[in-house]
Amino acid sequence: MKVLFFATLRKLTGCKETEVHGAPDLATLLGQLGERYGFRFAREVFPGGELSRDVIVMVNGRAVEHLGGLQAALDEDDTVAIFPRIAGG
Amino acid sequence: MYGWVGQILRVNLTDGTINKEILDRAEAERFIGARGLGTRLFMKEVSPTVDPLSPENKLIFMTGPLTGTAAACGGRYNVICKAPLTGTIAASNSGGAWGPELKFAGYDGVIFEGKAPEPVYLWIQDDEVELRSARDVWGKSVHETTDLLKEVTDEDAKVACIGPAGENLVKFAGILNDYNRAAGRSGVGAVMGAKNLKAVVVRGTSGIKVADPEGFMQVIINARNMMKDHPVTGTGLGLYGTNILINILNQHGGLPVKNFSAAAVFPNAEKISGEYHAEHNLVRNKGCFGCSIGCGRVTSVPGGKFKGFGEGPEYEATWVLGSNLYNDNFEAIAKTNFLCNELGMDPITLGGTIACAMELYEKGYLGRDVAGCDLVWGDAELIVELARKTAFREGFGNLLAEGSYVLAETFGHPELSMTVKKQELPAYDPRALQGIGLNYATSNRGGCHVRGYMTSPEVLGLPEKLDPDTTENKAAWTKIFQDLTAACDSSGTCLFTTFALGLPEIAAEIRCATGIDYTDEQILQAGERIWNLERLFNLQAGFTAQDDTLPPRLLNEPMKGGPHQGQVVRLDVMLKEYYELRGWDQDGVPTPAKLEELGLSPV
Repeated sequence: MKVLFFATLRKLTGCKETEVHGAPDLATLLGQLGERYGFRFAREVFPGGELSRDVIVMVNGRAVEHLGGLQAALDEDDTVAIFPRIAGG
Repeated sequence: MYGWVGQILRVNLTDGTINKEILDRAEAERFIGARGLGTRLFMKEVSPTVDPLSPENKLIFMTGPLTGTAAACGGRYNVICKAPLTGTIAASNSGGAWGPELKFAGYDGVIFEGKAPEPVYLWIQDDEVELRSARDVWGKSVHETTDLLKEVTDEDAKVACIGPAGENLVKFAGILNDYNRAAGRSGVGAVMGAKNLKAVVVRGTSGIKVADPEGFMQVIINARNMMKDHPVTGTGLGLYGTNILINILNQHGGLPVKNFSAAAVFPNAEKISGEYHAEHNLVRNKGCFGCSIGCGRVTSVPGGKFKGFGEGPEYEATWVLGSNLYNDNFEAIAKTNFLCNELGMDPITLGGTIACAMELYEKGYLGRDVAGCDLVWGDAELIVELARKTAFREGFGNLLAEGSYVLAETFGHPELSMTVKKQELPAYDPRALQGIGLNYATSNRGGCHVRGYMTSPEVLGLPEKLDPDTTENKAAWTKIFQDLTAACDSSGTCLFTTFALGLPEIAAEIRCATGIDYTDEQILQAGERIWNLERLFNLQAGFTAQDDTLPPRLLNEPMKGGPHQGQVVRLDVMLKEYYELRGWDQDGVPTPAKLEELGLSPV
């Protein structure tokens, strides 16, 4: 699946997007990303194994709050977008 | 008085008389200030059926009790009049340092009435107030005017003025202060132009008294700490500005494309995003008076055909001049936005009107013979040129200057005007977030996102995440957002504080500043009172429940793709519930019981 990073998270990953395989749900995906990008990324997005309140995660444009949170099921052709908690107007 | 200064200026432009009047304390208590108090004063003096560009329309600049104080982001003022674009009440909100300076000079607001026989500007220097000829600056841009008037008055003076667009009565001309901050929407600049009033220049040297200085400092420290610790107000907005929303709305599938005619996903969103802006063209960020957020962008396009330097573009300008026109040239967007600031126009209505023209052209309803050019989606150079032509009403620009509704109606297709009450919609396709659709439909100044920013819960998860595809509870949330926003706008603080602060913090600031023992609920009720007051104006002006609607495309044409494919706005369900929650009858008229509860007179 494709994973997209935005805003300040790009400074932690060093890239705008990446490919991940074999993650059946969001918790597994974030765990894999934490291993790939290190402690600071994990702390920012997935502290203590919980989804941070300071990030916004969408799967195919749908916020994960409406998909079961960390249990959100993922397919290989999904697009996951991860943002810091941002706003504007 | 505390918080409020206690004095307003009345300037009759027809005969040149200037009077100082005592602020009505009882009215100030009930309507707080700025948007609310300005609207109240306006409605007491002006018929709702007034021609907006006639001398009988008045133009009120009004601050709030927190404007110019140490309150969090207390730099705001509002301009109130009847709007030439919509015919509704207009309350156009701006930041910068002009509002605080007016209070430092000793005034909560200025009421302009009549029409000057020739161009003038008002020069306020503390107690000394005079009308001066503006012949030397008439025709000049906002930036030139500001420089020249500071030169002949005081280099520390603050200038609010119109540009050529206001002079030429462009229906969506704004009033710009401190060079680049704008009371941007609804055409308040055209009303100023119609009065032959070029500028209001102010220099003030006094302070503002607050009732409980110690308590005030404590609540401010608490509020500012909350803002510092919040990811939006403490980090995100300062780093990336409002344009950070481009990518998230695009991923959400709510970024309007081609006049809302295509799926709300723009393939080249990254090229116009806040991230792109920060990486390529951002010089530094900037804040208004008393601001710790610093969402403003100082931007440079160092070379090429779109070379320029200025402020912005904000998310709204970027979207409407970008994806909405299928334009992925960020430098052209920035250049057009610079022009809007210099010439004094609202980029949202400008971009919405150009988008409408491009769709009319695409569908064959508007030809090259009338437009004088091929109105092709994504033509970056054309977009810049159309902005200039619009401000000067040159050629086809004369029609664009009327806004998209008049444009679309002229060619027999008003349904292609993406407006509510003839004001162009902002940057969120409501088929992808139902609640913002209800807010658009019920906004008292027509299409507007900052009357009740439902994007916050529906997309951004603030203060909590709501499902954007459902209609459940959207009426209740919309009402609360609208009422709280009305209170915040009326206080003289920035709406962006509410990403981090809630009613208790805002109410505490107002309480300590004014010395009035408002409860939190009374502040929220003041917001509701203001909302209903604006509603009464619009009803008296001839608007009905039929006007609480959306462009037919959003109600009838399913979204063509993206995460919300197939969705339309289910407005009828939400609107019925909304009227009930508001205490309005089925015709959208506040019931006698509701008016009595709020202490308002019936229509």
